[in-house]
Amino acid sequence: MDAQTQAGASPQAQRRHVHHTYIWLGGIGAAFWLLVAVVASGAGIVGSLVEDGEMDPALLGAVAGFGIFALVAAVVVAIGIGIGVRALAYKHLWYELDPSELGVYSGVISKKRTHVPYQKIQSVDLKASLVQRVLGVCNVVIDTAGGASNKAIVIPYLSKHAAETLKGELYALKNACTVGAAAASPTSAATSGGPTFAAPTGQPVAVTAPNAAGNVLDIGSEAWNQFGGIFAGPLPEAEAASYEYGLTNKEILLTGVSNSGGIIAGLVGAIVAGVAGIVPLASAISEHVPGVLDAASSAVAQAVFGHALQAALPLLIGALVAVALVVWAIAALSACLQYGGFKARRRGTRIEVERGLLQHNAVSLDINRVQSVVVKQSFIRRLIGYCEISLGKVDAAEPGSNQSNAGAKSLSDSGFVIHPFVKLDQVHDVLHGMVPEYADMPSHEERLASVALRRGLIRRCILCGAGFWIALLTVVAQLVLHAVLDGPGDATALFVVDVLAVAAYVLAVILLALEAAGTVLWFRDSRFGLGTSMVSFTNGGLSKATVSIPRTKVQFGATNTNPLQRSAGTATVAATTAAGIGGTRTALIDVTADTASAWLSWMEPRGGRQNDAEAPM
Amino acid sequence: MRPMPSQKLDPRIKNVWRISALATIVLVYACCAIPFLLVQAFADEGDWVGVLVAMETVVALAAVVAFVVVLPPIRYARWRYQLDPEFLDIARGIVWRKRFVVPFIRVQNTDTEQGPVMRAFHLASVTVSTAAGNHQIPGIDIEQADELRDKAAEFARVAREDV
Repeated sequence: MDAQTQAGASPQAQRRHVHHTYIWLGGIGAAFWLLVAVVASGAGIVGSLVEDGEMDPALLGAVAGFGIFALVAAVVVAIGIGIGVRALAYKHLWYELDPSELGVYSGVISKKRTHVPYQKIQSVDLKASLVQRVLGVCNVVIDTAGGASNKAIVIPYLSKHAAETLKGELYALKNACTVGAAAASPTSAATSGGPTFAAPTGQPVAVTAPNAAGNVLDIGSEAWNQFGGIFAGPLPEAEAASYEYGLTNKEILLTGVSNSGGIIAGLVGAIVAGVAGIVPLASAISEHVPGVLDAASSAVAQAVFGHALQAALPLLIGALVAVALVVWAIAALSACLQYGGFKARRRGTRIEVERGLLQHNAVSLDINRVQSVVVKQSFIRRLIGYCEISLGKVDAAEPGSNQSNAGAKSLSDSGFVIHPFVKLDQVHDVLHGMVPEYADMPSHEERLASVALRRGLIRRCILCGAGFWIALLTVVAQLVLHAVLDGPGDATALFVVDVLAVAAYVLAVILLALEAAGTVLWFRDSRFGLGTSMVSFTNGGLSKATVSIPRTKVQFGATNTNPLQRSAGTATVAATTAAGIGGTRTALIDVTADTASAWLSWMEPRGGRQNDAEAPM
Repeated sequence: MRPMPSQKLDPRIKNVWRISALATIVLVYACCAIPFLLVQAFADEGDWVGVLVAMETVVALAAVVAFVVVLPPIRYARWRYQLDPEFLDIARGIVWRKRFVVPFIRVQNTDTEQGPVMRAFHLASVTVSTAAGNHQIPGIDIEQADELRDKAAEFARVAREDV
């Protein structure tokens, strides 16, 4: 009977439409910018009328009243148009779950159909802005592993219930397809590599997360979960998580403070204050050489060395510092809000991370799509012994953007953060809980060749060193300007040039010292490890990053040598994965030539087992 | 130290490189020099036009010497590949020498390609694609290229995971 009713059901019944908030909330959003333009121009007109001040007050009142009425009418019309357009689009927007792929149909005039085979689905993200969250709807973003040519698919404005149901269905269908395909052909090269991992069977292990306690902002996120959202609907039963953790108070505060661009804002403020500090020095000098001020040269010199400015200077510096601190505090607060309610868990074959106290982001990634494990320490994290753990995954270009095939982009902007601030000694536990398939790090690691220090200093401090080149260019500029400006009236200009040159030299020395320190740390901390099933590249320096790649995810391995390296007996080793857009290349410069040969031998099939047997204890 | 891969390219690829380099240089030189020659013929701008054309000619001749006479044999000598049943080993490059090992389990598709110059010399190139980039073996006799491609496709099909 069921089969009959199913066979008799019209194809229309399988269509699923998005939530009705698409029409009015989306319509208001679409009309928003139109409103901004109308309001701005209206305010401009009214403002110019008022400024002219030539109008009779009564007439002015009438005009103002008419203006406000026209404004309100325009607002209503704009919203009406927006909602009308969206209502039409709503009728032509739906999605279907076909036997082997998901189909999304949209478009009124130009119809657009997107089909995603379930096997290609890599991650399903649920994103909700603040207003969407209050109403209990979200956008579903489906990432595929197609690289630059496949864009991510967005289904907007689904209720939480529909979104969670869809997510569960997609993952279940994907696992069913993968298992079916694996049974049909044991050597399916459809994935970017590696055996497919099934969901761990048996009872989930007791949660032994580093901090199941949580933090103060969790209260807020709990409140959100209780509230749920107006149109959310009942959430479907989720399978049990095998490993779960949140962030403690300290961790969330540290994340906010160090992640924020507030560091940069603070630095900028400090630099500006420092530069401003040169002014009293210069004005002190000008007091002892009064003739300099009398010279009728550029007005800039007058303004800079003027006495009035000198009196207000401490106030100015104080104001700059205060502004820098306030900017930093705001950035830190916003970062804290971004990470509030942070929860990461491993559920079946999925890794799920959700965060956000106002806007909410719930991203999930299938374990088979993980390309690498990255443990990164920025300078601040190095100082206090913490790090950030992220996973490399294949990215698709965002819909509507025009990203070219990047080729060898670094992993710093992409990647899937599973813990923003964790103590180094807990990394082992987190990895074994979240990605146990890829937690087997190489035990034996090689250091760089001893000549790498000398070569690194030359390369990073001189050839590519910002400090060196700034000093060089300043010397050249100074010499040239001194030769050119040797007339009697150019004394002030030359003085300004010299002061700026001194500032540039100071900056160059600071940069050179930082680069030298970074190079020494790089030489001391860099490592290259070949294990049974993973290879690890550690690049040290002021900030340190370890990229561990499973053997099954290395697309190809390479070594490079230039003539200097050949004479020094070193080489560069590199591994390329499919992570990012178009691939990512992870490299380590100046390992010994023997290590480079061992790397290529390891890349050959079964090279890992040979390596393990030969590794010295 | 790891030995160099055993196979070399077809020697005729040197002529292909020579011809394409010559064609490119002649084209660029023509685009750069002919306008100035026309200027000098029809309008008397001055001596600098002649000097400029002379400089361009010198540069073009130097490029011809470098890319047509000197480089192809060296490049040919350093281009090696080896098709093992389970991986492809490629070594190329003169100053910056690169070595690649591509396991066949990672290979997604294999193609052959030939432009007009290569077709005239009965050569083709074989490209092996992974999920993160392609590797091209530039100059092989057409029949051998088809054999190579078929072998590579077969190795990719039967390759098994090794962990």
